[in-house]
Amino acid sequence: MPRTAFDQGLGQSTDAVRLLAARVDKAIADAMEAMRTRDMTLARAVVDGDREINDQRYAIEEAVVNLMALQAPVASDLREMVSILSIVGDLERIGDHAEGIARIVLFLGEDPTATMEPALWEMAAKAQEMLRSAITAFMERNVKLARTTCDLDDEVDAVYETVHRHLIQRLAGLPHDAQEFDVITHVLWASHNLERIADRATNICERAIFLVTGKLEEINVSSY
Amino acid sequence: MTVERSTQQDDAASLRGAIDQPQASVIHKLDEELALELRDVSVYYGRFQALDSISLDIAKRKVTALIGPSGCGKSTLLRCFNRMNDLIPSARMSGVIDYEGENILGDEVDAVDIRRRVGMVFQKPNPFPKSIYANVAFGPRVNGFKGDLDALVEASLRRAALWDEVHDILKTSGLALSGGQQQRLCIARAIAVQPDIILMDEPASALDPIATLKIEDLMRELAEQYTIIVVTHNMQQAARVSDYTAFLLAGQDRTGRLVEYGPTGTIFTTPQEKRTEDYITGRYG
Repeated sequence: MPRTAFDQGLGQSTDAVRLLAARVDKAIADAMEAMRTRDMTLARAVVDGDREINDQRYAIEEAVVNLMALQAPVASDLREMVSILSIVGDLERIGDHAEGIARIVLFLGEDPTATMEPALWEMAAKAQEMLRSAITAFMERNVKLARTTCDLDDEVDAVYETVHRHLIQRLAGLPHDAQEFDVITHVLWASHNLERIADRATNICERAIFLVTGKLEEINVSSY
Repeated sequence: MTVERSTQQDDAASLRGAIDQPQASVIHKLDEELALELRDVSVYYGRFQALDSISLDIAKRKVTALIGPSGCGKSTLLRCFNRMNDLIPSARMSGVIDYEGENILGDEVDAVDIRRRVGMVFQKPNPFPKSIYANVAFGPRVNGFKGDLDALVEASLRRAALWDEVHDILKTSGLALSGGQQQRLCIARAIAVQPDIILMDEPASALDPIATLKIEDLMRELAEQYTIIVVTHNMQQAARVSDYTAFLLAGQDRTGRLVEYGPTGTIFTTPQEKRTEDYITGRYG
């Protein structure tokens, strides 16, 4: 069959996407674990590991661009490759969000006044669930799963809303020179990073749908 | 640019000069000005049926590509448009090709007149063993053209993007030109008789990549004035030059049928039929 080289190249790229997604998923988990345990070593590892995530993204892009140039794909092959280019961008940005959380952990250090919001871990769990389901939907070309995964974004947004309100209330009650001001602001940023991870998982779902249907549609636009 | 698929057969039945009984089939209609309307076009070579009930619209001043594997009937279909199949003794056609209210396949139609209005460019450049000028002037002379022949030759060569290369060697034999130039000379020759439609049967398959791109550019330019129907095995070429693409496929009975027809962008990004997808992605065969 004349497609052997093409199928091999495309298979390697989709495998690489799966590995990148797993790596990004672990970065989120490690960043949240570092936040929970105030583990500076783990947080630093997440920050350092982001460079490798970026490198993986560019390696996949390069392989896909080469394959496109050499094999001139069309139809579902073309849609899959275009989707991969988009998805690796989202995965790389999710990695950046995980890195952002890890940097917040490093900034907060072991400050005893840095009271966390328990709901952050709930957000992280939902965002990770979305990420895994989105990748599964793409790999299995499962439009139904992609759509139901997008629905979870509302749940993440709802938790974010609660966390956001609570943190603003905490801020409002502080004197202007309170040390906790910086802490709460950074926790706000951490929650925002988690909210953005869920949004990017939604983007991946949109590409899974595009891969199957050929239609580019924005699903479940986030409130944030 | 939408394609409406229906199973109506009323249009075919109402058209003048319908041959045989039209069969119900999917009609691929276009929502724009039309050059040709095909309804239930079938072609037979003796007892063998080469094409089965092709029904589609060809848009005016657009490029329509016919693609499909060897033996699917795309060249046979192309030859229906100017009655070239008449030259094959055993060939018989049924159905309707409506061209400005007239059925091209009708017995009363003057095939020679049709071939003047529907020009053809073949796979291998086939200039006459005459001068460049005489090649282009040949058709108008045969048709009794009374106007300014020099101006017509120049205009035809200009439209075929060849004038700049040959204006000072018009008396040179057409056979002295390169392959790509010879093919553009053949296009100029086809244009000179002022056709409405130009048929191209693998017009660039014998040319190098540079000459191929010139022909493809030329096809796009010509589409501003003429309706172009091109048969090509080169799917990237079909994707590059055409507005609409028809995919034909022969079944086990070796009879060619229209599998899918639509805007080229749709065919090459989101084909609706699995057989189309399999063919254009190389999974077929």
